[in-house]
Amino acid sequence: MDTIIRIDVGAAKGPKVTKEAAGKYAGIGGRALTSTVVAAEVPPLCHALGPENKLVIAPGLLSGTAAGNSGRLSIGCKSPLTGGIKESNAGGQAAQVLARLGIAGIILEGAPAGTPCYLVTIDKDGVKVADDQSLKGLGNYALIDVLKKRFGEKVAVISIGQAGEMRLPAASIACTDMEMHPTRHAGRGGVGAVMGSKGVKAIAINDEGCKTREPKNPEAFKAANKVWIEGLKKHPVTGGGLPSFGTNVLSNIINEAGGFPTNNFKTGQFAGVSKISGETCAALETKRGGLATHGCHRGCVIQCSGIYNDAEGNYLTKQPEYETVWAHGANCGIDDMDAIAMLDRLDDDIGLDTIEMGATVAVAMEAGLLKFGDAKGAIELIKEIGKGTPLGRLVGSGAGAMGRAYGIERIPVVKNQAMPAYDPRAIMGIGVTYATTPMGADHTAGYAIATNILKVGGYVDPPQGRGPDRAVAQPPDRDGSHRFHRHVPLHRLRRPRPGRHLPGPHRPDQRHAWPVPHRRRRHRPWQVHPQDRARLQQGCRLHQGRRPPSDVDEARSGSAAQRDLHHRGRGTRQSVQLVGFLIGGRRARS
Amino acid sequence: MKVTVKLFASLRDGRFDEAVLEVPESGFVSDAIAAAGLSEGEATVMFRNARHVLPEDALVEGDSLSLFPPVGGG
Repeated sequence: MDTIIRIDVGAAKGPKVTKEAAGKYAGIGGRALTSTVVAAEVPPLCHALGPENKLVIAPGLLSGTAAGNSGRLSIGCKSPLTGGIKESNAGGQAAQVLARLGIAGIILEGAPAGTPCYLVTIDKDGVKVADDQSLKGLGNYALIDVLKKRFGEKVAVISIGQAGEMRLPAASIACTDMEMHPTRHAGRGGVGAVMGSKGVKAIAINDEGCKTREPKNPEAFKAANKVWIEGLKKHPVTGGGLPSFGTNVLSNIINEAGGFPTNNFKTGQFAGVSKISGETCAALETKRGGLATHGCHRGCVIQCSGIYNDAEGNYLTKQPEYETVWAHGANCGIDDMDAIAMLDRLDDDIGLDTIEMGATVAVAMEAGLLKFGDAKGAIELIKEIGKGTPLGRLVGSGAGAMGRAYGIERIPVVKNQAMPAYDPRAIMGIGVTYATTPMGADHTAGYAIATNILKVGGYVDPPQGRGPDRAVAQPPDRDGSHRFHRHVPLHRLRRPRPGRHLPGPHRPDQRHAWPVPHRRRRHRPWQVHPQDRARLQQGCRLHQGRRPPSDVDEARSGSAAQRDLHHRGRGTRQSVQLVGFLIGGRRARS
Repeated sequence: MKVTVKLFASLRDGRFDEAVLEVPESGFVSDAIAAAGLSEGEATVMFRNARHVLPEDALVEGDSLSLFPPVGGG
């Protein structure tokens, strides 16, 4: 885990592979590594699909060891969907296999000449990049079939489908699972489009001849790992609810709490929830000879996945995750589990973010393109993307683009990224997350559901608040409908005082619509500008009394780096003000 | 008085999905939990008409009570 592989696809004589020591990036992995590289090396104002952007792929620090659940893969870049820094992650085999080869990260950089279709192969003998036009236009499933014949079933593949090749803002990056199905996706923020812009179709990784990474102190590692695995097995969520019903166990509870966005966020409860819940899905999978408990990578203790077979008992897709079931189900008014599983399969095959796709189809339904509950229409709409038709490209551009194209007012996005499966009006904590993370509406950036709903790790009653907050956070009526059927724009929650605290821009085209009064930037000692950080690393002292970065700063460099990039890109202060409005304070206190 | 009780996830095993149960007048959430045949602590998350409640909270005729074991995901 001390090598970083750089592939410059824009080099004069074709792709140039450089192996380098992790150096200044040593000691960090996963999200910290990908975000730190992006913050340090990608100019924040560059075009996300241009040569200056970089795609960074990294396993976690413990990947490749015997540590339980150490197989997540992090992918980072500047997002073509949000225009800000992006981190998206996935399960599957890739992280374990990369780490076993001693690779801390892969960085794709530059822009290729022409329209190549690179296949990158990595094994213990080295890295090869070859232009293979025969792979062009293949969906992820067809691509894996071809690569399986060439490399056998023991490789792990990171790939894009047609959406990534077309550089669509909702394109994902697929990772294969233990059965070589391309089902685990780094979905959010259009990372697949950035891989497409580098001309890389697939990365096949083979760890044959490599061993599990050995800890320096095997006894201490073994003891700690034992405690970790026992803890996961003993906890009722990771040892009971998740293995039995998968992540979709959440459908019922979020629905009961009135935070299950239905019909493009019109209501907070879905009448057909019992037909698509985790309980129903697990029973169906078992009945059809699939699996209700299944791990997506070696060494997973939780096993929250499953195998979903069609009515004839043939493999269709993995167990659709909660976000997918919500996005393509309740949010589109669809209560047919087979249709949702088919949409999940299509998203995986074409290489699309299921959250963004469900939200986009729902906005299309709101626009009258098809009706709420029209499962066949939704399937046809997603198929259009694979065909590359003009309509398909619009759908693959996400909910924001769809809403603007049809002049729709109610588009559930933050920083142009679709909101996931938790209504921020009923579950206000997650609203703070959506508003404040530099990544757009991302539930993983601060999972307030744990405390607001699940009572895991604490408890905060979700609709608590004062004044206007309470008005929008009404629980649903007995019939399941919210009393407020229209979204109240966040900036209307509290009227700003003239000349002060004017709400920030909500859409890029409104960026300079309102005069924002000049205020001195508040001193934030925890934020170290990247340029300053470089100087600090050279041993320089900073002026203005800033303290040099402490160990805490180093440990948090991933998130600090995100804040820095975001601050230079878009208005942090506006987001903070927005939280102020959301939590009902008279003044935003940052 | 009658209240609707809904059970989810592992609480359904050997019980019911949804039932209208009889609880004493001016009863509490704990009464409904007992009427559903659950032991104390089995249900960790409880909603009455889509709002969090605790076992000591009161019920009224026609309430809908949803009971969950510890769950998580997303």
